[in-house]
Amino acid sequence: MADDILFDLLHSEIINYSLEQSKDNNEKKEVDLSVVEYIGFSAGYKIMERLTREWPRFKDELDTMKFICTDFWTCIYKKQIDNLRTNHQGVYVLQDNAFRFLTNFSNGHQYLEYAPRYVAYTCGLIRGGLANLCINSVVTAEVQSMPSCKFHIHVQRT
Amino acid sequence: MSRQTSRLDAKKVNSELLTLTYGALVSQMLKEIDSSEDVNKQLERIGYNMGVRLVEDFLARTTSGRCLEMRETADKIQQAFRLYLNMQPTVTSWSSSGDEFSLVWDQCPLSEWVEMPSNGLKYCAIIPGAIRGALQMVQLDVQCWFVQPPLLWVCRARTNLLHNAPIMRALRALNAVSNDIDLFNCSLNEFALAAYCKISYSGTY
Repeated sequence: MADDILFDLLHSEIINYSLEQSKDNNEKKEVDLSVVEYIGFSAGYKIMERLTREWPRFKDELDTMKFICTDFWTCIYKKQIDNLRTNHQGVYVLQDNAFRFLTNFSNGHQYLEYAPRYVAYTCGLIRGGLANLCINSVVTAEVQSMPSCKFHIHVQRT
Repeated sequence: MSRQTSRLDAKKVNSELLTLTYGALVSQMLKEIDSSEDVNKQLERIGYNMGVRLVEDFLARTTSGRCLEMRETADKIQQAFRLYLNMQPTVTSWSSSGDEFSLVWDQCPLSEWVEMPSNGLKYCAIIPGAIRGALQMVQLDVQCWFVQPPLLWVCRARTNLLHNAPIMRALRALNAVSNDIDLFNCSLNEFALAAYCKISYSGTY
């Protein structure tokens, strides 16, 4: 069983790695975080399989989201989601007021432009987890002021 | 929701997530980078970066003083493995000058659920990197690398009786020989000759 800090360090090294790779590929100012998101996706896809192994079947989409907000989040981010909102048409907004990967950075607007790097992995993680539960979605994140973070989940219905 | 929270062990989930994330990273690297040599190098560098920062956490947590010799350092490394990965490598094969040793482990949490492709990829290459980075921060320049695992596992018996058994001697001899020569590049006759030389010239076997 590995310690938490290893995961924190690995997380920041993944970001570091992907930034370096994308720097080689193009010289644009935009940073390419798709690799980070993809790594999050495949990790989330697999971890969900293990987490829900002994779980009763989820009743509906909302039940699944509740699972993400409470148990899933508690295990990985040491706290529950502070606020879950939905329009009952496939849009969910998860708000975390002290997001684990952002708490160490700042308490306000400093370094705000770097925040997207540190939420990309989690977006992928949520998307991968939901994908394994047969919910195709697009997950985006929004950071307005530093330790708090909002994840928007748009469920794709076909 | 309290009925469910007890079912997941946060520490275990975190460790599994680390394993899976690391696996995803390695497979992504294999996709992006052509040669597995370069992947090894990248992993080693990632490990180095992690080790540089990990050593601060280690020193803060254990409040251990400065190591005056290599044996103490080996102890500390062992302790770090226990602390961070919950595994217990054994320290063996000290060189006579006391500046080289091996860490041996059977199963590492990082390589759980992993099946290795046979293309020279060193899956756990971040561990040597981390050790190198961490020791550099305490003014110790070391080299750290994977040696290939022994060809045949010799069981560790507690008495010397087994050590003297012919089959044990044969296994040890084969391992010693396979360290020195590349098995796949020589014919059986050459191998037999090499084994014979090894056995007759070294007193231990």
